[in-house]
Amino acid sequence: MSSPTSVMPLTIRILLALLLIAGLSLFLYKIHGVLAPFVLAFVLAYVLAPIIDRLEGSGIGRTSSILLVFLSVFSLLGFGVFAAGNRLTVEVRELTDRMQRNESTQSLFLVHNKGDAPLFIDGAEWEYVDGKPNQTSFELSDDVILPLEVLPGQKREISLSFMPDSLLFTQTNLRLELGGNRAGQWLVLPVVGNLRHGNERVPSELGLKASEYQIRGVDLEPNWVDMGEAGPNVFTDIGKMAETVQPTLQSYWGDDLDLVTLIKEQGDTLINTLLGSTTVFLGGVVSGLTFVVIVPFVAFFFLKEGRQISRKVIELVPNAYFELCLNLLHQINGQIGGYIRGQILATSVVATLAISGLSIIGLQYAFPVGLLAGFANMIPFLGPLIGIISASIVALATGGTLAMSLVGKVIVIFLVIQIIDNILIQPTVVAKSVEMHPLMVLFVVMVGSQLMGIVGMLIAVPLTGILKVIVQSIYVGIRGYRLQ
Amino acid sequence: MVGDPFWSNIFKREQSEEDALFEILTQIPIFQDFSQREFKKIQGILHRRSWGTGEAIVQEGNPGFGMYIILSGDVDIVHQVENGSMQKLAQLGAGDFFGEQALLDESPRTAAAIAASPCKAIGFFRPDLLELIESNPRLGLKIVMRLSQMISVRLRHTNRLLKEAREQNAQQT
Repeated sequence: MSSPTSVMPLTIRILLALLLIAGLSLFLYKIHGVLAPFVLAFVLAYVLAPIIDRLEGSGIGRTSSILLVFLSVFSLLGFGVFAAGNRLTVEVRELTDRMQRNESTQSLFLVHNKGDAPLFIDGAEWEYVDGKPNQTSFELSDDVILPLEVLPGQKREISLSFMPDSLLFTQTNLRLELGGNRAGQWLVLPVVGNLRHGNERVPSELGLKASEYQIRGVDLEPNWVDMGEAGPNVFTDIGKMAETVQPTLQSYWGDDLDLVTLIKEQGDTLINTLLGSTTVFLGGVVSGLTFVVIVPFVAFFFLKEGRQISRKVIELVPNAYFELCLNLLHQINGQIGGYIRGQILATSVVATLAISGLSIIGLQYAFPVGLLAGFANMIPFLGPLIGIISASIVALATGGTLAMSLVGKVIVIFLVIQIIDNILIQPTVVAKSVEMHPLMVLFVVMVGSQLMGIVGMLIAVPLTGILKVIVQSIYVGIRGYRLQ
Repeated sequence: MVGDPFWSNIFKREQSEEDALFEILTQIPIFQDFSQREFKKIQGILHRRSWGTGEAIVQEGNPGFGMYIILSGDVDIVHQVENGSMQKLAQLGAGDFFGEQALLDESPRTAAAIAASPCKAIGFFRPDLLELIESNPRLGLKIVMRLSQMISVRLRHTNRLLKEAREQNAQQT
């Protein structure tokens, strides 16, 4: 049994070790945007390692085994991308735009009075470039009150908002009617929206037009305004559907029920919760160069030299803790490896079932929605819910008059998938290595969502499993090992 | 016939650390008859460690994790007796090994191994052996068979000693 004098230093050493782990975790969290390619490479290495180990065991060199497996895997992936054609890329881009698109944008410009007398802006009107009647995509912000006085030398700010009902390029002129000693004169400001959908010559043409409209002694800064990109998103479409059913629902729940606003607010919250921090993390992966070059490059070295790297790390451990740490490393390895490989297989099966089922019922964007449902299925409890909700939202947005029946079919499809997943897939392929109380699982998934969006939810459970193994092993070490 | 001193010096093969290690390991019953190629495959799962005089390599009572093969230095195998004192059971040197039973199970160590002088040893551990069995079943099985044979020989030896002790006891009574 250890004497009291040797217990205290050991406790302090363990506390220091835990502080070090906490500090390292905080550092990793701060740089998590950069970590994305390395995490992906790590996961790829873990998935491929058993195959490569088997090949190496049969006599093929390690490097040759890795290259052989890489060639096979990336050939398969390449074939998959080729076979799917542009369909997945286009659908993902369209769906992402539809989910994340801003319904409206704001911008502002300044009226700079360079003259000696006050300038009065008495009114404002909008016109199309070719003289068509006023259109309603552009508006002055509510805080702009006319008439407006601009003193000599002063710059007054005027805010604009842009809320189009389509993605089309839109161009108009804002005409500001001047009063006082400039009565009869107009300030004209070209304004455009969704410039990305316009032609490349627009900016230079607008610059020329703006200089033609200029009035001596008054500057508009900038002299033409780009309102950015905006358009109807998924929740706008759902909101329009809600408008048709709202009178019926209000007859039951009263006039206080504002379904349209509720959908819009909750929709924004849902998108921000799911995608907010995820985009920072995925930003390091989404770049094509990163994905095609850096991930395989890093994965190659993880596979080739991972064992040597872990041995080098173990060499640094003092003799008294060597066996304990090596045991810990092996247990963590077993935890991660089993969990990742099992989840990858389960995800593939669920994604295949979802894509097939949603395609059969005729859901638009079945491919990306099915993929999302497959990946989301990795998240305990909430994953299947994310899949159903995403598919239902797309069904409501794209189903037209048959939207509600399409939602019903979506729910049936996902119920069938969940039954197959829970009865057949999970028990056979997913490792039982991470054993946690369901409340604990729910808690860590919520924490992961808060910290890193969807990616946080995906890694929360295996990460907590690793921490659990570390703590258990340290406890066993104190109890079972006589540490000097 | 004496070789040409010029060419034989140019093409002289210096014995590397790996070769020395290979020679030591093939003296161990578990790794007997291993080829250079097979040795290269298990080299990646062996751990080299160094200990100072008086440092414990393994502690009595700790869960067994694997075996150690001494490369250099001396190691005392000691056991704590009932009165709390340490009884030296054996002293091992370069080429000797201990703890091989821990390759099979996690039973607590029955004795401690203390470095009697600065020593270097190779560790070969159970999780690594299990991974080797998965990735290279033929090689893993070869090691496990050798281990079983070693333990079987010791068991027979122990049975013989027990039998002799009982016969002596019976004669005395």
